[in-house]
Amino acid sequence: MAVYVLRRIVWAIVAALLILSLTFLLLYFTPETQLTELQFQAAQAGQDPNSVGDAYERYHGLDQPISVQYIEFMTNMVSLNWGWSETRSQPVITAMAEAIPYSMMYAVPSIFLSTILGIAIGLYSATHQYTRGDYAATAFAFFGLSIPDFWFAIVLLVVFGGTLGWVPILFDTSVATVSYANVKQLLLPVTVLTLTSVASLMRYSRAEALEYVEAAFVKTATAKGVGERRLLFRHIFRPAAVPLATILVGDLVGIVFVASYLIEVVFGIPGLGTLSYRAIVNQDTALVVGTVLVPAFLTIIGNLAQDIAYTMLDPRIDYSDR
Amino acid sequence: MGQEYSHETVTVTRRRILQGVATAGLAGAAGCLGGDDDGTVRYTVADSTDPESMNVIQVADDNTNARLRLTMDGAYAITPELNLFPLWLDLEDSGDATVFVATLRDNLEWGAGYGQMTAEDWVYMIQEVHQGPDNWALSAAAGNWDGIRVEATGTLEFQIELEEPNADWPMEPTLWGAYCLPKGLLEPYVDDRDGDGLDQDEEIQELAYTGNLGPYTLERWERGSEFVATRNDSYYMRELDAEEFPSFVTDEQIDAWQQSPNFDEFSWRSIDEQSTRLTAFEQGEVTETTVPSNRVERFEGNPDIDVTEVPFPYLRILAYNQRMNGWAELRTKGVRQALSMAIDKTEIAEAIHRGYAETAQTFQPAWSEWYDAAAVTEFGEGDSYDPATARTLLEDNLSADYGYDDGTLVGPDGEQVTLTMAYARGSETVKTTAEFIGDELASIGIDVEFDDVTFDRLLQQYVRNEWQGDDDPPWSSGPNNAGPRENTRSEMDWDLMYGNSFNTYPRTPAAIDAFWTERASANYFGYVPDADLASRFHTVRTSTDRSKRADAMADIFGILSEDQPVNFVVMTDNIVGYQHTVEGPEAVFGQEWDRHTWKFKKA
Repeated sequence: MAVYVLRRIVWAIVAALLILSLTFLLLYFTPETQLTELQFQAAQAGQDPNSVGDAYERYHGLDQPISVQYIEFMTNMVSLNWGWSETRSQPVITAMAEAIPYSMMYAVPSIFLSTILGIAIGLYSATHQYTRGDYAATAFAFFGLSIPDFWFAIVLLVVFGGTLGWVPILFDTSVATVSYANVKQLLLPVTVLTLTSVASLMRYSRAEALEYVEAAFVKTATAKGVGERRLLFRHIFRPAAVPLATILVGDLVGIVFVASYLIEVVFGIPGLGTLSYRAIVNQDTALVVGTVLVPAFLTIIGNLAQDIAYTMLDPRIDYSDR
Repeated sequence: MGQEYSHETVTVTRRRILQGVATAGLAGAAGCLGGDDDGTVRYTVADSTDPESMNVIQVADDNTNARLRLTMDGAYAITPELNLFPLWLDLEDSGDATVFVATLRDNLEWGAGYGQMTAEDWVYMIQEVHQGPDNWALSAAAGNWDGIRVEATGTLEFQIELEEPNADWPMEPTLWGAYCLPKGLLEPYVDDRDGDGLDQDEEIQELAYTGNLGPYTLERWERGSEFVATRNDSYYMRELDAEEFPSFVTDEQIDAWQQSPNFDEFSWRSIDEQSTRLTAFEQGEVTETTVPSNRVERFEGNPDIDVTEVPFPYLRILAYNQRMNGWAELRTKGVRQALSMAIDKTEIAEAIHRGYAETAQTFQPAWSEWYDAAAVTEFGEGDSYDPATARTLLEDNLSADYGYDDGTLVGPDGEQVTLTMAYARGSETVKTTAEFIGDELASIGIDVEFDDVTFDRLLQQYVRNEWQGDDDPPWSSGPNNAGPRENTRSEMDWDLMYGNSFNTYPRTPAAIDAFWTERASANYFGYVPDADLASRFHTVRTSTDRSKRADAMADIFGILSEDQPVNFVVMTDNIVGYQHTVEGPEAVFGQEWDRHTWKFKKA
């Protein structure tokens, strides 16, 4: 097991270095759009675009040979000096450290809620297949899956923020994290995100649990007089949880780094989604690299954590021979 | 925030919901009065942008400047009547429009212990930073200060000497609105030519040195969200006596400046999503925001909101590619005129921009004092919009192997003439206008195909061009005009390009020479004027005779309108919404010069 984990970590490092090298090459061969814009602005102002271009390249070290640029890039990345965000005027690491708490403020409750609700409703649906409750849960799931986050968020904001005035429209960064005002302004983002996640998780839970509801060992346990709660959690949920763990890791990364784009843009939350969105729109290369690499690294770590989680959830899985 | 929310439990009833809808405006009024429970008077502006840096040396965008302007006034302002209003300094022409003398106020104090602002600070900053070797600090103003001599002539006085006379120089963005940094802050970085270090200096990014130089002091900059500044009670303008104001300022204005600022807190919110921004504005959480033309109707009849149309000096053009990879016929003036004649600008201004745009005929707004209607030839407006005459004009001016076949314009290959129009995606009005232009050209038998690309790609692959000859080009004016049009081309082929907006510089019109001479650095479309525009521009730049300059400018604008190097389509207005209680904004160009004196009406 230990050897397996060690090998996985080494592979994770190799994968990270490959990602970094590939990122460098992509950046190196991508046209400098900021330079193009600067030169066009200079031309409009009657200035010499060539001297602006020269100054820009010198300033950013782009006049250095590719080998020098590559070594500097890799050294900086490894030493966690991920560069200076040109559009925020702060180190990329600081920018991300400032943004992460805002994303966590709504992502953590949402993950928590959606995990509990999704699995609970899923298990209920599986054990009460084709009942009214199951149909209602299925309808809820299809609603959550099919309604566009972006649109739903705007509708909620207009109704509850604009028309009813129950929640503020603008996200206020100055309120205390643990305060009524913060709960109030996070209510809608959490609702939107939870609705989407709970729907998909519920359907997966239902499908996985259904595999075991009719299984022989469940029938045997039932025949032996095992209680309903024990049957549900020990004999159905536990084996069903193994594939669900995969979905949970994916959901975590997905929610924080993908769904957050839409949620944060609508609600004006300065979290990772807004950070990444603006970095891309404003062509802030260092920040784009940072916001892309972190999910990539998290995915690598998440996969590792997931494999280890399998062994804990299912004793039949053993990596000792690998 | 401009609005507090009750912590009490709210019971939902139908009446409550209806009340919510009906009283949304009242909530807005509460917000715009800006008085919170804590008695703080707040003014909140919302837009979709975020400032990029507090490093005044590199800042060139209006959005960041708007934030910086809260904490630092800059050199001087220009009023809508084109008077110079001294802020940090007074500027005087010594007589020949070549030497200008700047005199600093004597009560300007830096923060962070840098003492009084002196002429030495200015001269050091200009010489060592803007004019520094290799532009080591990446100064956005480096080009403006090229070839200008500066010299301190006293503790609070310095002299600026231009290479040749330029009566418009005070109106150009060289010293107007310029900032300065304390010499003591700059010195260590100047010695090492350390541009990165200077950019990342905490005192620079936290605006720690602004002292009493602006009406507000930076409270916090939450990147991606909010820029908050609080009232600066030691603001230098508050200490001025009435006689220290210029004579054109009224007593009321003097009083307003001496009382300024009128808000305890001024914040600038960055909200990407337009509907969120407008809903917050409607509810009074935002005091001021720009309103897209297709959303103005939403606020009509709302007594709590005023929407104003502020003239904007930017002009949207339809560029005709006259380089080697454009339709060769576009080099003929009559062909360009015909195309412009077939496109109804009034419809674009009235229908697509919903009346929040003015048609244009040359590279200058009609409201500019340099605009001479008598010199301008009109195309695409009123009687000059005439597709039938446009067809005749095309037939008369196209090469012999072109002709009409049953209403279709046919080229030498016997096929219909098809032009490619490039435009930047992302704007609904640009897309609609491009399609409308396509329909208009179809009415004179020309088919139009569209390339909608991102703005970055548009610049990179369509605007930038390169020399194609074997030898070196005879001349090059940079990547956007890489040489004579016969041998230069962009990466992608195009014939028409719509959507780019350019500043027409109504205060300093000679600055438009960056576009309209053969070798102009922004002449990406390859225009070669028959007339000698360069010498006329030189006259405008260097003459001190106002009428001579006005004549030369009228000439230029007349030639441009007749030549149609591009189709001058429309000038869009800047539509700004304010809560009704805001007192101060006027619907004129340059209205923000006295923003710090704006206030809320008394309830």
